Amino acid sequence: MKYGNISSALDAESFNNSGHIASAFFYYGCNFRCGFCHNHRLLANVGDVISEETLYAVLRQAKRNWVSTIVVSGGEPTIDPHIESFLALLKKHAFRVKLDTNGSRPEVIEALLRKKLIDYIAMDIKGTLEQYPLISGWHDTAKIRQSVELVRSMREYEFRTTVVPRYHGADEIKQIGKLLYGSRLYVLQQFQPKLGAGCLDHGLEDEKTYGEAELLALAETVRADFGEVKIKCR
Amino acid sequence: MIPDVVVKRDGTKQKYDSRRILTAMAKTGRAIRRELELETLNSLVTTVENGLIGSEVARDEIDRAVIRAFRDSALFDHADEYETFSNRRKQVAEIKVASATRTSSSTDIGLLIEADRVSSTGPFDIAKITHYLEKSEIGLSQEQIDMIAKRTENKVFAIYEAYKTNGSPLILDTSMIRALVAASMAEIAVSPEKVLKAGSYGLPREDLEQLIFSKSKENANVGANNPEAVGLSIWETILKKFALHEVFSKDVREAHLRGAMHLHDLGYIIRVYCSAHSPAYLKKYGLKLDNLDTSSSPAKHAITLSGHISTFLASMQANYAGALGESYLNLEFAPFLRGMAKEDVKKVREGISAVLNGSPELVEALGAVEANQAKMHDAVNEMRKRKLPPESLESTIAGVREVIKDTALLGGFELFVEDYKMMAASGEAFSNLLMNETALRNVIAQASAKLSANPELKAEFEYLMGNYTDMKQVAQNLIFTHSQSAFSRGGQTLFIDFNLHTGVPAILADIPIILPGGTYGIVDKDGSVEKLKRIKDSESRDGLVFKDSAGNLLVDAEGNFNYGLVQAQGKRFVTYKDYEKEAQQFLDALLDVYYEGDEFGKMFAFPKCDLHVGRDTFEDEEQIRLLKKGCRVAAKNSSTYFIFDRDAVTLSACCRLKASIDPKALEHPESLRFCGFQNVTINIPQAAYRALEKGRHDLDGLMEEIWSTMDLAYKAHIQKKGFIGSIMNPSGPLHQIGKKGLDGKVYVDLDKSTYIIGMLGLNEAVKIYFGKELHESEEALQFGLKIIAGMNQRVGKYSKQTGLTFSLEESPAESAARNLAKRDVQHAVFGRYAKRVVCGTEEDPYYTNSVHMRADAPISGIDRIKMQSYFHPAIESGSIIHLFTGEEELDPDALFELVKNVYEKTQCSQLTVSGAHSFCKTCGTQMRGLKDSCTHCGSSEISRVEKVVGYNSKLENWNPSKVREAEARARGNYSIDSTLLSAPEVSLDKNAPLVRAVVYGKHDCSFCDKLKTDLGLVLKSGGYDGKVVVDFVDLSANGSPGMENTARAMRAGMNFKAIPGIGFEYNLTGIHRPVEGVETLLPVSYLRRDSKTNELVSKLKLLSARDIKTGLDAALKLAEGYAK
Repeated sequence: MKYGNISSALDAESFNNSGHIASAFFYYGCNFRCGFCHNHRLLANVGDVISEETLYAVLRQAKRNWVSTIVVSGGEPTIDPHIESFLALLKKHAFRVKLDTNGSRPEVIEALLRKKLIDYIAMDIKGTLEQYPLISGWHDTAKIRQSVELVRSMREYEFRTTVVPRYHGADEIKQIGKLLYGSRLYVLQQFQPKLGAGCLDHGLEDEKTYGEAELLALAETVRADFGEVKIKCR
Repeated sequence: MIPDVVVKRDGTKQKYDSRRILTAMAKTGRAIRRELELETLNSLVTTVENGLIGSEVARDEIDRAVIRAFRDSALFDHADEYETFSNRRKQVAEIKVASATRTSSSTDIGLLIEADRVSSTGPFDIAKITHYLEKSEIGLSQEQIDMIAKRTENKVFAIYEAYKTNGSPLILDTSMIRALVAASMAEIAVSPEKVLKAGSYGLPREDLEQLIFSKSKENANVGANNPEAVGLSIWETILKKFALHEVFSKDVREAHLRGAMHLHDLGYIIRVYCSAHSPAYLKKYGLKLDNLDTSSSPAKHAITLSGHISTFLASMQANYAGALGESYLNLEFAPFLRGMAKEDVKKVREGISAVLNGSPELVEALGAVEANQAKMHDAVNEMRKRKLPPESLESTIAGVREVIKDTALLGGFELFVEDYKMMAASGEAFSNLLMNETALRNVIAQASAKLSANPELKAEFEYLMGNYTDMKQVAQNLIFTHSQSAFSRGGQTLFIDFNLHTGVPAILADIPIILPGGTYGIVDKDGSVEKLKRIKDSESRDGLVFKDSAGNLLVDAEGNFNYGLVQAQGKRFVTYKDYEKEAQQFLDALLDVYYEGDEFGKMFAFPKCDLHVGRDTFEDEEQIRLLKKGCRVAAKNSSTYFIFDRDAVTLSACCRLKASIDPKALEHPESLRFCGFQNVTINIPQAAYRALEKGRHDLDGLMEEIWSTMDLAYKAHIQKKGFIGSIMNPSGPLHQIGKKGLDGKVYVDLDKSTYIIGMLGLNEAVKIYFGKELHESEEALQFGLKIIAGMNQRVGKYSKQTGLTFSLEESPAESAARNLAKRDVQHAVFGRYAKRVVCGTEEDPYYTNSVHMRADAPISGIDRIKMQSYFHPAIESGSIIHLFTGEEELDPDALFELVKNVYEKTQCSQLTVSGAHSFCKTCGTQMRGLKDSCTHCGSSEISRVEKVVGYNSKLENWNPSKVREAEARARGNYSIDSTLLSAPEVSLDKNAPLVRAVVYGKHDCSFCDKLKTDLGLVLKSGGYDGKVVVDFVDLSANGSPGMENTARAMRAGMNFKAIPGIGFEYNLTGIHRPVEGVETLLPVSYLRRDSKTNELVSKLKLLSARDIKTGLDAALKLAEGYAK
């Protein structure tokens, strides 16, 4: 499709932390393979792609429903060659654009920022830089660093980590705090082992997860490193 | 011989009167239907008298003589009858009747007969029965009365015979006699209503036992069971019966019993319904009520005012069945809070910002070297923004030092660094402080310690924190007191609405405000305020005038303000606007309390936080901030109700009552009070069944049924009005509100109250009659709109013909939704229809509330808001849209965006976020969502709370149908995500006009004519040839066209109070479809004070040519997308 491999599945997650009334689109494909991924159905093969006509209709409907922000997620949007034209389309329709990304393509992010196609970025931090190969299968941590700096140059952004006890303890979180030092907003997300389609690594579905109190404690360890630290639980 | 004296059976003596014998003999004849002629009677009497010996004769003797006389005249039947009669009377003398002494005190009437009251017993006397039946105005003929009395007497004798064997004296009480009378009435086929009237409105023993021993859960609306609650159930049951039989006529009663309509709160028949009151009334006059022993003069302090309001509402609730609202609450408190300003929060905030910004002087002084200046500015801003921890801070400071080291700025910079380090160390962003008291206290402590190096800053900081704490204290007192005011019927807490405003609305801006001490103030150009002298007129206890220090009368006894004299002095009255800052700060404090909840963080279900949103709200930074804060509260614990004030003269008085205010009345806010008199709800589905049974399938057929039921509802109102009017006199129970208030105006004027007609189950009605549910097609929705338009038209008719205000309301119908559905399902004829459409289960059915979409309809929350909003303009007494979010906690900023859209793009009158909350009764933990066990301690003692109709309440108290509804809701899609395609696409012919410009107005209206002309001009000049057609919709039309027009205007989002407007539709045949995304253009109404007369007049600002063109262009652009 003209705008890339965007899924036709419009089942929405909750977008309540966008600060705006928002609607989301999901790209197929990702260059990471995090065990705890819930959107794993989007990773392997390209399934039903939304048609251009339906896409326009959904956007029109979104306008009718007072949607101000479109969340572009996936999978990993920045690996799709058509990402720029999609964001341009959104901008043409006067939507605010929020991009979810794993930060593996700083050059793509840089180009999109230069063309003023993004209003807000939410970048996932999978763990400490050393942990990336283990957790996501990604080795080029220099790119991650670059993306972090790009993201920080924006007016509005957030970093977020899905906190899995097996990978992330107080030490790891503190290290991440150092990496992201002085950033505006950091969100610790509770790992939900059994949510939706389960995990990419189904073995993780039996894992324990941190409760609200533990997440708050972790948040405290890095509160001084950021403008704001939030936790997100069910 | 004619005796002188008759000695009666009980020994008393009576003067002999031959007429008595004559009467007795005549009665005998009547009793056996063989009447005797007067001549015969006279001759019989003579015979009797001839047989009497002595001047004193015993009663028995006379009787024997009469019997003999009959026999001797061959009137054997008469003789037998008389004998039986006299034997009975002998027996009867031995039967004592116990009755309570009838005094004029109502307390005696209800007393049971005590043994020691035998002394007040009297002998059974049939005459007493006859007398009672004659006096009771039941409407019986004399013949009926005699027969009933006789039969009662026979029954008494039969009972006597039965007891005689026991040897104990027979004591009957009057209620038993009453029962025998009722039975006797029934035996001669007196109509049932009349039989009932002779009986008593009481409670069977089993029912009473159930109430006391809580054997049944049916009456579970009252949360706590206590003696008051038992009392409530008792009198509710009794008054309900009384209401149905004594207040309302037969046809009204039958309509209610049939379920065609529902008379709400029958058990509260001696009260009016809901209300809104003005704190200004108490501020000006003090606290004086009939039920209070003592009076208070006007409050001088905020806490006192809070106490006055609380006592006032607790006393007043006795007169009302429904909610009690307080208007403009934070505005009225404001003058009591000056000196408690956090104002100074803003000042200090700015001061600290200045310090943190590196003062402008610092930046300015950098002067010449631009690059350095920019770098310095950036560095300083970065430090502030990032709150960098020590390491980075040091490196940045080092960097800046490097830049300015050779300049004179260094010294100033070092000072700045010191201060910055102090503030950074205090830990919390300033704006977060105000939401969290613990954090606030910590900050105050830390900051005070660290600011000790900077005494001025420290002093300012402590002052402002102290003041904020005081204002917060008042807010807590106000909210907790009213939340814990358990003095209402049945020992419940009061149902209270606090009407709060984000700023002073334009209509109040220059209205004089009442200051502490109950007086007004005048202010000169320099801002110095003089409080007027409050002088009570010595003639009457309550007459009031206000004078200045020179003795000039500035406000007279009628409340007229002498604007002229004040202006001449170069002064003006102190107004609401002068205290806007305090009002806003107080709102801050109130919202903080609502946010924090109670000791355990539990939300306040009452007093309800009704946050008003008006035109000004979105234009002012401070008001936006407060609205966002209200959204934060809503997201956290569902407390906030957003009430949209759309035009200058509508006041939303309480959760559902909106009223149009006469601008003149605004001069005196203390007299602004409202009363919703009564609500009668129409069962629309049943009307549909009846129409179908009659073979009708058209809208007119349905409306005929609805209107005929509405006519009965109208009748019910008039009947109750008469009844209430009759108990407002000095000795009646409603005198407190029936008499003049302290402002000289009747407190509740029945001619100015609102008479409410509600509706239930529109969705199910449309489903069965039209074939689709409201959300299923555009046509179904418009069908529903027409029904409501028709109801709106009808209440307009009632208003016109009575001069009273009748209006529609979305009935809460908490139990009616279940009861009426159940009744219809079980009905022999309606059952087959009802079963096809009713919601819930067969055991626990319910009709969808008023005009709402079905709870689990597969539509998004935004669709729900939009669709239900179309109905709001026609439902003037109040409506509400719930955004049910379950356990999801909405993002407050997203919510703000939603609220803004709702205000700007719909005519919604009220919106609330309604989440589900659970709290642990064991450890007090608050949780989101409906939980079965505590996430903290594991206890299963959980209270689950959701909005049942218009207020937060515990699920354990809901009736089972409401629980079914909550389950349905959980299935429904209420998120503010919007990925469902719910609107079908539109198809237009590109060779025909694409858009219809619709002018909504009234016949014979100059504004409308002007608008039509303006529209015509725009069309001519803009090159719209062939693209646009124009239509005029007359909202003043009658009959079916009127209904169609109104429905069309509702669908277009037209505000009926703001006329004329222009809406844009796709040019389709057969259906009116507004162009989505292009709002109907509305004129703006506002109030202006006439500079000569000083009177407030309402004015209208019409649409400009530019507005029209913008709308047209936007509509055409969208329509082009569909043109093929």
